[in-house]
Amino acid sequence: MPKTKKYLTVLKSKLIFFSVLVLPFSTNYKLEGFSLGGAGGDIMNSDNYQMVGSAGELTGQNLSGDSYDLGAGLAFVRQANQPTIATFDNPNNYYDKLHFVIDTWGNPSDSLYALAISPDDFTTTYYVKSDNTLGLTLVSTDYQTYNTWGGATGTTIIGLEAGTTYKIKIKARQGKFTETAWSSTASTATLDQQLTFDIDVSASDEETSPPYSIDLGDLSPGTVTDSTEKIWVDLETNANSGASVYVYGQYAGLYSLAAGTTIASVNGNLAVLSSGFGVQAVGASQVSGGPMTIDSLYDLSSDVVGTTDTTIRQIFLTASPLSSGRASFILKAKSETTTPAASDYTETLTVIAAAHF
Amino acid sequence: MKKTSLNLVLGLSLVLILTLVFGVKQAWAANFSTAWLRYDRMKAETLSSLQVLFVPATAGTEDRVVIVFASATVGSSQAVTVTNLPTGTTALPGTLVAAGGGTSIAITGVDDLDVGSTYAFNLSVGVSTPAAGSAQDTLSTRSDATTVIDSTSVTSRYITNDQIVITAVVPPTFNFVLSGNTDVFTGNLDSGTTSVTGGNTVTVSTNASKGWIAWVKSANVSLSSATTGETIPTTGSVDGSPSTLSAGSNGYLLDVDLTTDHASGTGSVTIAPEYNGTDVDEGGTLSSTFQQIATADGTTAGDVITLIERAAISAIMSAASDYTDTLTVIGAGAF
Repeated sequence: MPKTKKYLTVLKSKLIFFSVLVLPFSTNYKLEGFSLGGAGGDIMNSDNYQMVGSAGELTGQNLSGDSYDLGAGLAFVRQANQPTIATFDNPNNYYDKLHFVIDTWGNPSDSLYALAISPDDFTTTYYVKSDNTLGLTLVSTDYQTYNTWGGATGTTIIGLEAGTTYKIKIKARQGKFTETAWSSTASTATLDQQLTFDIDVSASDEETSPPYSIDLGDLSPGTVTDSTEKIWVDLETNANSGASVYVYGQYAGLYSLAAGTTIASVNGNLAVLSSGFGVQAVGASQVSGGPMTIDSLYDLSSDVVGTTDTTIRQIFLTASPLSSGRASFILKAKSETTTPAASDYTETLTVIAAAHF
Repeated sequence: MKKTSLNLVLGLSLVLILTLVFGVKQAWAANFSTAWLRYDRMKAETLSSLQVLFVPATAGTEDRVVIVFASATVGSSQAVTVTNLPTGTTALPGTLVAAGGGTSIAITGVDDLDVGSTYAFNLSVGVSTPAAGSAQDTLSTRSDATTVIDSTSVTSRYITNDQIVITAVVPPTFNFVLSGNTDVFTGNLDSGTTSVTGGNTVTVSTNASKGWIAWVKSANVSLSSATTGETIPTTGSVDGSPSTLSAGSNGYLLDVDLTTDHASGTGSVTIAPEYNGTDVDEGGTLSSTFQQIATADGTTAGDVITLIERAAISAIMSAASDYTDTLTVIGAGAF
């Protein structure tokens, strides 16, 4: 074997690994697209030259079957390894987001990846933009490295439609003329938007049915009277920004038609105030997510109450999705010696919720 | 090569012309950063006003906000307000006009909005909520009737009942306290002057919404002496105005003075004109039947009236130390 040929044989056995990435070049020349014809794709180089060999040049296209995908020709040799979607899931009951993780299949860290996603099996194709939203166009900035796409943690795609099954696919490139075809697809679904809300009225933590009422009984002058029952709320949502529960009154206090007067709703300490009516939160909890918290206006103790006038006020809130949220509040009232006697003091509290999608 | 270039130039020009003439609808509208619709009533099939809050995510020249309702019934007459908005929000700017039609409400006249700012407004008329369950409405900002800038679906829930009726009773109270059960004249009766007792007070507190009434009756209708068997009779008649004693002439009257018309409470005290003497010689005629001496027209934390007896005698009135009368003083709340 001539010395030169032997030298090339050694080199190609050591450097074949780089054949998909590096063009044959030296300081004096660069070869684009050539074939040795025959035995197989190969790479050869030294300080002065480099050559990439490819087998066949049959069609320049992949040969695909149910269980294999064979590429041929120089284009295939130069391509990055075909990446796939390692994980495509909905880990947190998302209604507008889905999570994916890339499997690089050994591509170098500076390889770039692009992703396409579709709600209708790619009749309509959207691309995952660099800000993780969807777009109808794929531009160079939408190609990002494995690490930029979140590495092993992955990335969450945002701005999706609720209750929709999406398919996703990926391709890679590492320099010019190295872009792969789209991978096979993975699919998963967003959930429908969810908001569950319910009211219960009971002394204990139990489910009750409407109509809801609370009788405070006799309000002895100068004495703070607590409601025996609590007003409970159930709250559950997958809204990204959580939800709020609100309370407001019809009369801004306990109103007597017969006496023509109102025990006014107040912010303050009923132990000090001569009379008044208000609400005090008892607690808030959840099984997961949240947390569900009490608005400071009603996060009170002793005989201090927050007002339930006709303005709609937030009493409970969560800034994140939560499951099985449960919260309660009680009523407190106090009359004074000059509060007109009547048996028809009444207030209607409205308790509502809104999710922040 | 020249032909290819020419075709390329012509093609690009055509696209440019079409763009300028017809505009381009944004095919892919971004979601708002946050959006919510608060139904002020969640009860099913109930008229509900709405509060709308959103954070634009896409730069654009907004002209309107449109809400498309999945199930709620929309009336054509709508009104938009920007009061009582949550802390940290910005009132939706512009000369706002809300109009309902079909399944949607459009708020036109909206000024250009800033990405990242939180905007809010109220629809004070609102919609009629659908049957219990949930529905997904769609909120969008638009630059014209059809071109969407941001759009987000928002699910709301409608429940059987969202209200709790609170009831309470304020029981009636009435307190009526006499300062004492005896009241003696401050000196011996003298034919040369009119005499007066030290007085007794009556303190009334009540939550009777219509106030209170006090009455007095006299056991003897005079100051009588068992020892002498003589009497000093009451003067005048019960006729709605006070009577006057004259020194040297027998006479006996009851004068009622208002001492405290308590500031707490809704009532004001009125002394019955019969007993509302205005000087040291005046008072009301005593009666063996209950006569109103004072009233109040509302609640009180402690009105006070003072009862003072006045008497005068002639020079020939028999001397005795046991001239006496017994007044019965009662009161009641007017609930």
